[in-house]
Amino acid sequence: MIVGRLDADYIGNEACLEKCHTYGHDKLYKDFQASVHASQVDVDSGLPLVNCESCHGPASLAVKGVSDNGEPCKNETLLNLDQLPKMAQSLICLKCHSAASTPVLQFWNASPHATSEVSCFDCHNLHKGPQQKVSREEVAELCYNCHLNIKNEFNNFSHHPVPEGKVSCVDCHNPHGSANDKQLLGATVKATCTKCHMEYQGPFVYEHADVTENCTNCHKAHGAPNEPLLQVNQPFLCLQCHAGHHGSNSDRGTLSNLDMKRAFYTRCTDCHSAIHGTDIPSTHGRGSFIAR
Amino acid sequence: MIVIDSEFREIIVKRLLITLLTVICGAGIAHADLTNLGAYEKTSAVLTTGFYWAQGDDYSARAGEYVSQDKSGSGSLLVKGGDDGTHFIIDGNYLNANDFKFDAHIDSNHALRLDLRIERMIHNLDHLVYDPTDPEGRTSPTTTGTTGAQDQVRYSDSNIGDDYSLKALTGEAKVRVKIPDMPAHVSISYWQFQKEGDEQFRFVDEGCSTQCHMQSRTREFDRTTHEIKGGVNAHLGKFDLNLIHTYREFVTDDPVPVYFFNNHSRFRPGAGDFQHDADPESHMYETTLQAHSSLAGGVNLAGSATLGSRKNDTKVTGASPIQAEIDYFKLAADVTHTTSDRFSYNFKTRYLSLDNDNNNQIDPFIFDGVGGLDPDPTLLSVRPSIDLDRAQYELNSSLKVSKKLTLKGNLKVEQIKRTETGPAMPFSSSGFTNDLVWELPEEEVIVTAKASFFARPFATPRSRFNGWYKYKYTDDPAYGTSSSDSHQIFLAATYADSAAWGANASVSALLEKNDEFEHTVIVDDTTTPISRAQNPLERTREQETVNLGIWFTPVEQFFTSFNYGYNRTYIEQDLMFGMNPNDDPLTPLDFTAGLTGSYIITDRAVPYLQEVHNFNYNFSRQFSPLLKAKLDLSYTRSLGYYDPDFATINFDYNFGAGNGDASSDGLKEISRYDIDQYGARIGVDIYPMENLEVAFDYSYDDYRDKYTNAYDGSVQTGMATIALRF
Repeated sequence: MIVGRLDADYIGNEACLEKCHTYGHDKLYKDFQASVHASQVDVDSGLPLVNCESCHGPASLAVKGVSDNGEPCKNETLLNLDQLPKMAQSLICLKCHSAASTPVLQFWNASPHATSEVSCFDCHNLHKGPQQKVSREEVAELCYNCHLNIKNEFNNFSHHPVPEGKVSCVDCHNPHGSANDKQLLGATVKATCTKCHMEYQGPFVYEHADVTENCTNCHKAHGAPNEPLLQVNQPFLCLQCHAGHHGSNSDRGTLSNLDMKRAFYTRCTDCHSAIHGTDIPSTHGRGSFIAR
Repeated sequence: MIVIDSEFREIIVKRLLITLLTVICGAGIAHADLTNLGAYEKTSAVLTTGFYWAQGDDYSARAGEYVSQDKSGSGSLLVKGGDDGTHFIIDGNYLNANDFKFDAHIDSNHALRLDLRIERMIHNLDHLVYDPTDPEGRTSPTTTGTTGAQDQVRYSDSNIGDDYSLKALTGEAKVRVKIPDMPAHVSISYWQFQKEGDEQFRFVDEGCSTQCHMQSRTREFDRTTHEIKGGVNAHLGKFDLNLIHTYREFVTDDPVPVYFFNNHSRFRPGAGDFQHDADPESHMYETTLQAHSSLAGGVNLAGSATLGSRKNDTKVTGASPIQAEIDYFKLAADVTHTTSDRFSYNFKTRYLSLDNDNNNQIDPFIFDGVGGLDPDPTLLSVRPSIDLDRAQYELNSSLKVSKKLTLKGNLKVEQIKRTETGPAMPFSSSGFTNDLVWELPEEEVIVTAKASFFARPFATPRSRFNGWYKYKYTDDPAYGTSSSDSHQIFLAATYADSAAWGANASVSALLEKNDEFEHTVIVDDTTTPISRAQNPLERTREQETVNLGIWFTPVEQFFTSFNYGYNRTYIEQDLMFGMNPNDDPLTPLDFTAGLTGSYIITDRAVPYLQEVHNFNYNFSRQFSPLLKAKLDLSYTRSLGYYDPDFATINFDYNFGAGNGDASSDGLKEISRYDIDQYGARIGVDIYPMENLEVAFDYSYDDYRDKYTNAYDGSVQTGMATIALRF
């Protein structure tokens, strides 16, 4: 039951704080007063009122018998938020956010987090400070609590500077859900990546087919041991889809000595420099070798 | 005897410190740890000043990829305040001119919210060794044919020793205004992202019938994206609506690169200055309409529609016409039904349509006025880009078996349709026969099934176990990296004692294969229909990850933790070296290794291995109210290689003018890597009095590759700061 004890009455913020002033509620109250939720306490705002008991339940039984001399609050009569099922925890917030316009929650109900035993409380701490959410720089540490494997991906040699605090998880993902796989922000994977890596967005006259669809065909989004964030190293990366050069028109082919092998079987992108696409036809072949 | 009481002594010390801070304020500011300003009793601030020092040794771009090596005074400012529903935060951190951040957030009674951000960072870029005179550089391969000894490939680095870096500057302003007396908001934002600096520009002048000239030059760049976004959202009783319109523009201030390309006997009859490797400017319009029903109801509906267009605005004039545009449309719809406190399910559908248009002919201008080719192909036909339709249908269900156990099931079907697809077309060296179509499947269906569990056996919210198994099937995998069948499993556990210790661990394994991929070889392009042969190429991929973390708080104010991560990727794939078949169409093609006259070598089950081990230890201890120390140590080992192994085969080359043995010897050695990275960070914080902190921080990072010294190096940084709270 997420409304609290039915045999308890609502007493209002002042009564909560008056009874428990000596136990640190003063700081919590002052933080809360500076937050966006506090403006909901103003009757004139016309919005659903939010106060201590909106989340913790009616507190008359909790403060019964409490005095300034140190008798503690009877917390067990309040809602045991930690023990509620995750969906119920989220409903504590959603029962009001359903009556307000919160566009970030558009896809929450069917999102991977909502359906994977993650509630609002796992990321939001309404008593942390008036922001009531972590800063852009702090998001990564919060996400690592569950996504430890992603944290270790960022320890790879080539990585997005998330550990350095220059890029944040929320620059690419919406943790509340989105219209895309992996809760990405853009309309497509490529649209998400090329918001920052705009020199590769095109569109180009000569496209590289799998780049058009999905950058992660070649790249890893978080970190990889291959610069620049490649799934696997060159030339194997390219040989997975394309045949290598044999050089039948050259004097001894490309596989006859180490120096020729070094030219044709190390970094394909040294010659195929416009690998993400180009508008200029290459001199060889059909103009589509993306080497110019 | 004059007795100075403690309160007066504190005032004197504070004034002296303020004076000292004022004197050294010009030296700069650095980050301090007095960020917990506590309750908003009044406006409070932390001002920090100090000095930042950095030094790189040898090749430091990899050891300190994001480290600015400019010594500088530095500082930071953190101001928080607010009351009665209004609060603000101003947070600035200045390390030096290439690394700083400033954020301001103001929320006034939820009626007005303003966010400002400006941030600059540096990314040190590689300068790969191209200089043929450098021991780590590349030597020009010399071959001898009937025409005599010649360099078939020539390397040159026009800017030996140049250091390369990218500086990224982000600026953002967001305003959200609540419409009075209505649950509705209007939002406007502007975002700007500028990348400028210089990079190693590697490209080829492909006069390859005589000589390929592999070039390395310094390229300056200055690229900026501007984005303006405006929207309105409202709660309208049974539904919420959100309308967003976005305009984004990408512009470059650097010129299109131009180089004097030599003539090529077949494909570029005349030498001259030609544009190449341009980054086209572009612009995008996008409009999204979203709607959803009550988030707390038993049935929740959510949907969105996005319409957008992105257009190429290139400055290239070396070929014409250049037209490329993508129009896209995306639909999303979710239905979630919570039938009881035990069971819920949702159905999700997504539809994406990408309509790509490009010019169907182009004049590269390289043949204008030049004879010798019959016919003179002044116009090249261009393969039309792929239009893509992708539809996804997904069903999820969740059953709460008990308070301690939840089971989930997921089924997803994805249908992909592509246009402009068809069989491979012949490549002609003497002319410019165009690829008319893309050799990709016209239709592709991907089915994914997943079963998951979430358990809290200890009935404590801090502990949980979860895991899942996923199977994916693709009927016609599009790419050599795609899979036809994939099995994946994941297990994770988290345990946390209330205050003393905690641990988390996860393991995952993936096994996938693709036995549906074929490489088409044109055997004879003179026959009707064109004679083709299919070379089946199989692939398997394994991937394992292990992640372990444990932390302890043995006594108050003492925290220590250890983390280990392991990632292994192992692939076996059939690879092709060469794709020109036997000129004699009567000789049957055999795709086993090497056939005299056929320039195709197929190496079966070539292994690729990639492994990363990562260790991290950190420690933080408040020894006394006056002293705190912290230590962070990290080590990462990364290795990767592929190992082709086909039998040495002798071939005639260049229409019989040359001859040589083709072998796999050395292919592994020239592309493998085995890297060690070490990192250490030490910090000491001293609190001589309340509201005052003195901090010293030092870091060391090192990068080593066992197979080459070219990129080995280290970087050290140091920082000394004084912070004062007001």
